[in-house]
Amino acid sequence: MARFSQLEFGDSLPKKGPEGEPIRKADFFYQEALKYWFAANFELALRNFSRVLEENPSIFPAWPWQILMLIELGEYPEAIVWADKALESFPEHPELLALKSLAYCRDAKLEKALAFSDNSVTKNDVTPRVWLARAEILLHRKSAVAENCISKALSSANQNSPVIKLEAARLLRRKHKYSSAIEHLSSVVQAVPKSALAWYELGCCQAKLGLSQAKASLEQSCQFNPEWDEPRKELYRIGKRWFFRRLFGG
Amino acid sequence: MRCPRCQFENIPGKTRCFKCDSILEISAGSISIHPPRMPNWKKPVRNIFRMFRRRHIVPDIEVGLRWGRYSELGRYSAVILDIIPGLGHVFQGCFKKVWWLVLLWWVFIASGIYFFPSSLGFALLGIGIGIHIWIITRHSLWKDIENFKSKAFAVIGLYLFLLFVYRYSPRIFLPVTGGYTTLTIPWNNVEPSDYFLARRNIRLDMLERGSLVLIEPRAIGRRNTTTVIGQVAALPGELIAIEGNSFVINGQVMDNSRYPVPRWLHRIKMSLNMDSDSYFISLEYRPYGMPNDEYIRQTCIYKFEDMRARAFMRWSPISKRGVIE
Repeated sequence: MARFSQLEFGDSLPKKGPEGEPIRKADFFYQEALKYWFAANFELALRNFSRVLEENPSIFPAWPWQILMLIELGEYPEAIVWADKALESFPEHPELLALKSLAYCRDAKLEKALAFSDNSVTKNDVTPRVWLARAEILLHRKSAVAENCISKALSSANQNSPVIKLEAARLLRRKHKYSSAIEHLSSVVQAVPKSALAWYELGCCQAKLGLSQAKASLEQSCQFNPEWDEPRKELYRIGKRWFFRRLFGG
Repeated sequence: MRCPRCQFENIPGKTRCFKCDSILEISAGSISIHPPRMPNWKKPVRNIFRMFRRRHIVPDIEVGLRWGRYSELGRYSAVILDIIPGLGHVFQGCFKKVWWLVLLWWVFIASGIYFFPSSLGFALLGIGIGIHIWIITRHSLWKDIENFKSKAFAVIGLYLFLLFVYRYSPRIFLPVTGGYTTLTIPWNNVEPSDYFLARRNIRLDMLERGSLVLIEPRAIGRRNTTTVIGQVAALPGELIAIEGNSFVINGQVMDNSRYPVPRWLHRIKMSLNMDSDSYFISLEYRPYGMPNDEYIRQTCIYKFEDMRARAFMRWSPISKRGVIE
């Protein structure tokens, strides 16, 4: 035992939580929230992002995530209200403006969505999510520029960022660009192999292209989040597809 | 103090960044961190509106709300729409201001209908109308009337108008009406002053012996505007007579408890042949002098067109409320 190991030196010793329990600080809740997002449990993810802000409201990334979770849950007017609230603390932040535009876009208010998106891309510190939101709006308008926006988002993000890749792939799937989506999703499931959301998205894309791996991917998703109904529904849909649809995909 | 967003070094003690105006330090208590949530019932409503918006069927609702709130025509339209309590406020997007009044209105109107036609029922309906006026006066347009006398006149006018609406709108929109009876029918426990609900759109095949129908009785020698519930005693083409205190139809004595003879026809001898489109309706009357066959023909024989409705439910007294056979 070291000679002075029992002496107290203020905060010089690292703090430890109870045996086996991680210290529940903002970082812990943030990681938990991301874990829930990857598991497609948006409600719990939202709750954990709120806890992050409970610990420290000046952690900016939790604000856009909260808005994004509200959008995922289909609560668009609430997402808009919350984006406005966040903009009071972080005025003119491009990511918040982009998420507000995304909420408007999903709520079928395209004029406003485009206006907010235009505003967000003119700012200085444009984040990948700004480009993804813009891509979604442009895809709604069937603009060819949308894919450039997705590439910009991917290039401006950290190359190994599975979050942005997954978001981009989900966007591509929603717009029926399955083969491009599979490309991104394959790398996401390698990086985060326990993500029910990524496996589900991959399974859906594979099913649409008529690939036989779809079933395995969806089963993986079911395994990682047994409470989530969507993969099961998709599996059921695959099971009862007719021969020609199986042959030609769709 | 470094801004977490733009990394600008600010003077210590500043709450917002000098460069990007972001908050530098937020204390957990000073700011709400739980986002608002959508109630479950709103989801299908929003989905419908979203679907309409995608198909460009409805214009932007906010434009409509702005028009409803600020244009002169919109404000007047909102007041008119409030004939259905709260609809004008929904139109202007400020239903929250009156939701509790609308709830109260529902409570009073529903309990007024429940106790109708007792005096308590009328009192509750009266209060309901008062609450309806209160809802209408919660519009911004009301604030434009500054003079107290004008306001009082407006309230009285509104009350009279709503009385008219409440009195006559059920006649237009509901296929149901009601009326009192003066008969005593022991078989189904009908007593004088029972109140019945009656269906307006009746067909010929719905009328049979014993049916209770709403008619406007012909008063001999004076005008009568009240409607009462009477009982069909004889059908078209039948021969009706009174023997003792019972009806005799085509020579067959009828059950006195099911088809009772009204008191004013007791101990009267009569025999009438029904035409092919006439019904004998049993009703209580107060005749002048001794009624003869002609008098009875005038007061008791009605055509199908004379019948307003067919009773289907006893509404009052509450203890006997129920569908009648």
